[in-house]
Formats: sequence, structure tokens, C-alpha cells
Amino acid sequence: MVKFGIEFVPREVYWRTVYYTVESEKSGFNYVWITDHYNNRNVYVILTLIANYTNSIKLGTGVTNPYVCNPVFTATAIASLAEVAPDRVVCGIGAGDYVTLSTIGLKFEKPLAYVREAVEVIRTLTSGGTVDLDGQAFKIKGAKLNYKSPSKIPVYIGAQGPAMLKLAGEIGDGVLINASHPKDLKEAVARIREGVSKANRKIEDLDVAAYTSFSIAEEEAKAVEAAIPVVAFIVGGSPNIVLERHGIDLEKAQAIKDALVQGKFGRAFKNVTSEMVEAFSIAGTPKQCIDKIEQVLATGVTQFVVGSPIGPDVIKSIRMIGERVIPVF
Amino acid sequence: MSLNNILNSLPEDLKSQLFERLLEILLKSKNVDKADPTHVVRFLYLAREGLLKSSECLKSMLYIATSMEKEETLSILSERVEFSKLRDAISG
Repeated sequence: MVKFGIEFVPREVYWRTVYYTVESEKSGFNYVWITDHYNNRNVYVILTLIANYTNSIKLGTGVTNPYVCNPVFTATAIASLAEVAPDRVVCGIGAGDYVTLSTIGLKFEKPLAYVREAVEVIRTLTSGGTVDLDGQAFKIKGAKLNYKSPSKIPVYIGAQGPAMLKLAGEIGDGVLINASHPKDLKEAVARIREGVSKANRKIEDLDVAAYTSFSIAEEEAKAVEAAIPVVAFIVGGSPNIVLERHGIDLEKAQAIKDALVQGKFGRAFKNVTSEMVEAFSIAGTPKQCIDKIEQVLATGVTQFVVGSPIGPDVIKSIRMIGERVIPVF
Repeated sequence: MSLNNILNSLPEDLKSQLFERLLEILLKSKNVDKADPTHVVRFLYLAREGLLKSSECLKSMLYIATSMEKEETLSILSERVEFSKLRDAISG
């Protein structure tokens, strides 16, 4: 049975995100994913509060980043969270996006090594082990937590490019595929399967999540309008191979990337085309969204994540999904 | 008459209407720093317990909405005669 997740960007005061999650749990969502960016509220503070005000929804970082946050810190934070909500915590981790990293002076280098080693560190520490690692990304000598997580913490790897997708298939408990279009998801699942084969695992061992940009409203135009800013950031962070797959003009995409790096968001949003919206989001009426979700699930996805912006009116969109979308599946 | 008693006397459909209007203020007001933290915690607790449209929750929402957007809250309470006692209690 397909699982439904929902992503929140904690750019609003804490209690709004908590309330949205309470409503999401009541609407039938199984997972909440909270983004982790330096310029928004802290992901672990928000997840801890959500844990306190919800009963069953699983709680995940969506996703944390090994360049910004050393995996030793991630391990202690996520294990502490698991003490608050045993059996409900998952750790999403990914290499992040070029735009955010460049803003804070970090280089996007050796992403596979950073993610692979971070996953190893987090798993070892949260399960009570000691880390001695002389890696390409991290040098850690005899690190050990004074406690361990009361339950296993599944690690989900955020991935978009082929090599990261293969790595996710090889070592992840789950994978968060940054894509909304069946074409991208089909390609991604094929790469994940390669990683699965390499590690002699089964694809059924993984929770394969489509981490979509989603916008739902009664009127298609309103749903699309809400999706445009998010689509701009996706285009800004997408490799050319993905842009070309959808026939996106690389010059137009570069104009968006440049505008985002310069902080000229209005200019970036104006350059978003309808082709970009179609390629990088699921935006429309409930019926249109249901049709697209069906296409997404046909690619082998086992969790559908409703990502930003969710809709022009978040709370109405959550209710709409709970009443008219989730029951269909 | 206490706020609780006034809210208890409202029919369920009016409670629902009031809930939606107050929720809109809570989720859309820019004055988040003015939200009464004690009532915010109470609101979240009652939301978790499935008591969003209870009199107790509406009372907390009224206090939060008033602290964030007093004029707009009073304006909502002026829209229906059934809310007039609430308006008097809040503005007094």
C-alpha cells in the first residue's frame, strides 16, 4: 500500500508548522519531512515539537546536509529525537543544492563520499557503536555517544543524479527522489535498482519516495501560480542532463540560476515557463493531481511525498488531499 | 457570563464558522510575535486531542487572534448577533 508523506519548510513560526502537521496526521499522511536550511527554523526543534503534538506520523529530516552539519551532530540530534518518539524517526540526508551551499561559502565537492560516510557515521553512532573513520570527507577518531537510539533509525538518501541514486540503492533504507515527473522517476528507479543489485539487496528492502513539488487547488491556475517559486529553485539546482530530458532551454535555466544566486527572486520566477512547471511539479485540481500520482506510482514509487508549496492555501490543500486524494489510493 | 459559557451556548454550525474565521487569522496574520504563547500551547494541545472546535479551543483561539489582530477579530465578532456577547467579553 502506498504511503503518503508531506514536506514542510519551517519558514513560519513554529506553531504553524506543528499545527499543519497535526492536520496532516488527521488527514491520513504517514510521514512528515521537515527541511533543514540554515535560514529557516531549526529542523530538530520543529520535529521535537511535532513529536510532542502528534501520535503516529513518522518524523523525518527532509533532508539534512553533511556539508553544513557534521554527521556526529546529526547522529546525536536524531537519536535524541528518537527518545522523544521511538519508532517514529527517520533521517533524510542529501548533498544539498548548489545555490544554498554557495551562499554560505561551502563547496559542493565529493558529494558521494560525504553522503556515504555520513550515513555510516549516523548509523554507527545511533546504534551505540564507536566511529573510527579516516574518510575522504570526515576524519573521526573514537567518537561514541553516551546513549543510543531506542529504535532503529532508517536513513533515507535524498538523490537526483544517477550516481547518488545508485548509492541510495546500495546503502539507503529509503531514497527521497527529488522529482515529480514520471519520466524522471522511471529513470531514477532504474538507477536505484543498479545500486540495489550491486549490494545484493532487493528493491523491496527500500522505501522509494517521490519527493515532489506539489500544488493542489480547486482552480488549476491558482495551483500553478503557487508552484512557480518552487519550480524556479528546482530548475536552479537541476543538472543539465535532467533539464535536457524535459527539453528545457538551458539558457533560460541558466538565467534562473543566475538570478537565484544574485538573490533576484522576482526575476527568477518570471523566467519559469509552463514546460518547467509541467516537468518539475504536480500542480492542478484534485482530479489532475490524482491522475499524475497514478503515473508516479506506476514507476515503482512506494511513498508519495507532497512537497512544497502544497497549495495556495496550505491548510485547505491538506484537507483537500485528505478528503479527495488519499482515499483514492 | 464567562467566555466558556457564551461559547457553550453557540450552536455547532456557528462554532464551525467561528473556528474557520479565527484559524485564518492564526495562520495568516503577520503579527506572529504578538501571539499569546500560553494560549498557543493550549491550542496545539487541544488540536492534538481532536478538540479543535470545542469551546475551550475556541476560547484560546479568540485570545490568540485578539492578540495578533484585535480589530479584525472584533470585526468578525460583529458580523453576527450571536457573537455579540463574545465581542463584549473580549473587548471589555
